[in-house]
Amino acid sequence: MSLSVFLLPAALAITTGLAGQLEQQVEQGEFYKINTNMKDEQIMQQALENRGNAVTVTDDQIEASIGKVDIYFQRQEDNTISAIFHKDVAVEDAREFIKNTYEEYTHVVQQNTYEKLLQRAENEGLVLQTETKQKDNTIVLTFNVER
Amino acid sequence: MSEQIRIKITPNGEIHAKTIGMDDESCLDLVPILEDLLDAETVSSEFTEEFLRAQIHGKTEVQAEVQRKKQQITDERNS
Repeated sequence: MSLSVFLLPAALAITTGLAGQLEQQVEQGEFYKINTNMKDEQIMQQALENRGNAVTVTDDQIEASIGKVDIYFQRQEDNTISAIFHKDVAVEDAREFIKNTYEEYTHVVQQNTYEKLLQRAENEGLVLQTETKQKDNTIVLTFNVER
Repeated sequence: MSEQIRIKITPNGEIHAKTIGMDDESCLDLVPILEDLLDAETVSSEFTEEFLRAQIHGKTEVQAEVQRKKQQITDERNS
């Protein structure tokens, strides 16, 4: 072994810690906002739908509905997407919703990364040798480097 | 021993890559390739102890070397 590299997909914001996705909550009149590490609208839409939410996409935002509760998602200046909740929604419920959505989002990111890697590796001289899945669902791929 | 790279993709989206059987600086060439392959950005990188035993390099030099390699590849692509 010679080099160890830690990478983060473009769909995720780099923060000092991945747990930072729930770190900021900002009051906005009748609404409040919870910032997230999510950056990709399509993956977010897929994650919301995977969790059974009704999703509406407009030009500038994504709206998800759970029963009578609507949640809005808006892109921020730092390119991350924040969730906007009405003040009637309990903060703990909102945080739980974001936590669950984020878990599904990263699951989709993992799958996308895996598929991308398998599709593109051989063109870069990487030949797949072994593929395993660990107990925690981490995917481990070993490639021969041919150059 | 053949040259290999092991890539772990965790359920929280993180990607950890380790080269195996590469004892020279050519392993740094893989960093920009991985970034392109995975649509990802390098957060951190370091030489492993095995490499350090074979080469006289410090961890602090790795980021500079990676940047140099990335620039070199960009220059080659643009020329």
